[in-house]
Amino acid sequence: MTTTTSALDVRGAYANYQNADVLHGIDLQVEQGMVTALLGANGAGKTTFLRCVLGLMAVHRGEMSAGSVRVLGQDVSRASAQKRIRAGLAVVPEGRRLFADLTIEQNLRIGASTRRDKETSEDVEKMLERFPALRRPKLQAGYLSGGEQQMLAIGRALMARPKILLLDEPSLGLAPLVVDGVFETIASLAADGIGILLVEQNAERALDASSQAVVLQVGKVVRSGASADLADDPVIQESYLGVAS
Amino acid sequence: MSAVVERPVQRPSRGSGRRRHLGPLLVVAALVVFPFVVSSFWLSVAVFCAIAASGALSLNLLAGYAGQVSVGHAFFIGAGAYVGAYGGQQGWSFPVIVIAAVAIPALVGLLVGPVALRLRELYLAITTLGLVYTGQWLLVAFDGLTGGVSGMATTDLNVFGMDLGVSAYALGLPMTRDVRYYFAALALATIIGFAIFNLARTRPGRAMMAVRDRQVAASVAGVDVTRYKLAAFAISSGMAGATGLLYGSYIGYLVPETFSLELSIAYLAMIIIGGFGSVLGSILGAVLITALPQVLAFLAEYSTFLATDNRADHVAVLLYGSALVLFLLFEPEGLAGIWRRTVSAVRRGRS
Amino acid sequence: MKFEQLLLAGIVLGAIYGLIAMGFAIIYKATKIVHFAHGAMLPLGAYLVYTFAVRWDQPWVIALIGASAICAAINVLMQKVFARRMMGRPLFAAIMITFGFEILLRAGMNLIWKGKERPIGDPWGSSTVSLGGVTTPEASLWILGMAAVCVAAIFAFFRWSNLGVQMLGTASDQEAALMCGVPVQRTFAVAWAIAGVLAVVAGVSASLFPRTLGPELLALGMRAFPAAILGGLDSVGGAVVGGMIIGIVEVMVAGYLSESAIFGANFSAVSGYMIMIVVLMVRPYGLFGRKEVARV
Repeated sequence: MTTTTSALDVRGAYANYQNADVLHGIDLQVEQGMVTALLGANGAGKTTFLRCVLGLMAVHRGEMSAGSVRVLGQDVSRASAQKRIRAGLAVVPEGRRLFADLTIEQNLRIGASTRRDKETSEDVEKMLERFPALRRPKLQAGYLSGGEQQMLAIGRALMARPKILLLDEPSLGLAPLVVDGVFETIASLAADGIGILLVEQNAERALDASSQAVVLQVGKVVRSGASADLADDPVIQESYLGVAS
Repeated sequence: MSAVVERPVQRPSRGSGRRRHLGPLLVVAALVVFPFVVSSFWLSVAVFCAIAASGALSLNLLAGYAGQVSVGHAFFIGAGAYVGAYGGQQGWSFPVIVIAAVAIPALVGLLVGPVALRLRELYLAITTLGLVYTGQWLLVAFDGLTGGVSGMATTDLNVFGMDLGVSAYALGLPMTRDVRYYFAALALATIIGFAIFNLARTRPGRAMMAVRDRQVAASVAGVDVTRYKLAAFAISSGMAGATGLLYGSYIGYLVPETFSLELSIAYLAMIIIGGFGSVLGSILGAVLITALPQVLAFLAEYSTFLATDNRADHVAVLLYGSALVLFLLFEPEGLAGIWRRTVSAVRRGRS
Repeated sequence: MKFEQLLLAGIVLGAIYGLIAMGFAIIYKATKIVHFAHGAMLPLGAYLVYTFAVRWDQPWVIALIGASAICAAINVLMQKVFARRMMGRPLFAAIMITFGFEILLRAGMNLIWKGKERPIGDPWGSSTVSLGGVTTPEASLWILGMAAVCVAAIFAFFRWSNLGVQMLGTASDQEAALMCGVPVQRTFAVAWAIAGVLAVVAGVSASLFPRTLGPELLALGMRAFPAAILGGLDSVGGAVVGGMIIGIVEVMVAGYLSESAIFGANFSAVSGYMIMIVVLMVRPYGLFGRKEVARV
């Protein structure tokens, strides 16, 4: 379902790394208040896609990208990552990528780097309330457990007051019970009106948590549609859900 | 830095075998004739250039081929120079002087090397920084041996019977002191250059270059990289000692001030401007940086601007500093790279 | 009395070394560049202050501000060259470019100020003050005061300011910082600019006694290097501690050992390097640095 007022509207995302095409022109939309899942095996191009959307492709590393990215109607295709975040994007990177030697509070404050208002300290307080695991703001982030780190990473991204949140493999390396908590948080963020793009290898949970899904294979979209439909699709079931045919 | 691997010169097969050797032969002939046809000022400059070439070549082994940054080169050159001066004073014979001037710096290299080489690359630069300053202090403190700040005189070398200090006919030619030292310097540079050229072709040599260029991780390179880095450091230091010996003997008088951080940096500049990992490059870089201040001093005769306040020297430094930065930014293969591209463009133009 | 006298002098020298080493550590921590040539900023800053204060007869404060602005700008220029052109190049190239800058700065200074000794034009003259029974030039109070202000300002910067915490984040994980929208290039430029200002303060301080400055300030600047190593290359606080230690050691050595036959009068200049070599053998990441800084 594509409307011109999609919160995140990506057309023709293309990426090339050292003369090899990695993404072959991806179209994808994310609506506010809804969770869209991006599925695919390792190497399918999911993380590259996110880096494309965020504007992180680095020329000096031999990376090139093209395509159009619109956030809340604003064209950010040529903008820096900083500008895109200011426009309403935020990312929770794969593996959390916290600033391990800095405190929880410092991590959160850095999340607000693009903001120009004065309410950052208030927001830090709000994050500490929302995520009980973070209630020791002077603790070094490296000492947190996996689940707590994931919450901090999400909290850090939320500090930018995003309208779109990109989550890269949030369940990676976490115990199933902890993953429950993560997905609960994702659901409540969607309920708050944030548009969520959920990149996941754990297809079952991702389809469960989302309303729309896109499947990536070798840099191309091979299936897309309502998550419920994809979950019932035998091909998807066999390839990604581990259901024997 | 892109890899600069010395390939044997390949010329297109057109032309007879004689054509192939014409270029190098002309160069050799020019080098031989040169000292007899130029003024003594330029001959003296040429001697210093040739000596610097030895220094640059020896540094290139360490930095250009093995990729190790050392700012201690001045220390090893100074060590060789002072050992030679001391030996000359004590009346040691030529072989003993040479062995001492080469072995002592090499041994220091072996001692100092392990401190730095087991740490990250950066730390060799830091350690050798300390070495240069320590070396200068040693030269000043042990003034009983070295004459301290006021320095020490050196003696002329007697190379297996050929006294370099004499001005007399030999082989039917008028061989002044400068001419003799000129040929000695050429001989040293040739020996060192030849050694390095061949060392680079050995299996450890090629492996070191692959590691230097990050084409392979050290662990995959198939040689014990640390051991070879240490060997490169020791050999390079020994060769620097030989360079220092010749330098000290030629210039006639040594002061600790000479063997400073600035000198080490100048040598690094030579191999970068000349071209990393390239024998030709070291020579070109050495000639350029050694001759530049002399050329400017010469021009100072005609320009009051250059003559006042020592400006000629400072302008020379400014020029080679700019060249260093520009080459680093835009031309990593240095003068040798430019030469190589010109030669192949000319050759392509001919065919 | 001799000990107290030396100790105070050592603390003053240590403050100077601390300022230089701090600038060096900030550059390294923020941009991972080992700026070997940072010491060259010392004579440049001092010469600029001389030019403002003595040649152009400006008030001392104006001279300091003007010199700081120029040095900060030159530093930012050098950093931009790095950012634009030296990304992904091997370490050798990065180190050599800092030496290249040092050569250019050195030659430029020699051409402009002709390598001559100049007066620094400070407002304190030779007046002295008595501190706990120890007589010291009034200027040393200024040095200690300025150094304390600088250290406090730097710590406040990292602790309280947004850009400061962003700089720490960038140092911790540059890509993650980019992903948070940190203006990474700006943190780089500001880090170098700060180092430039610190170098001016240090250079001026070092010129206060004797009350002249000359190119030998560069060698003094290089002597702060061991302080940074001792403190731990990426520790800003460590740099201050390292500077203090090296400064006190140097003065003590000069005070007690300069008569000795073995060490002689010049050993104090080298004592810092001796300490550095010992540190490299025993604990290469310094007192406060992280282990990854040194080990392969």
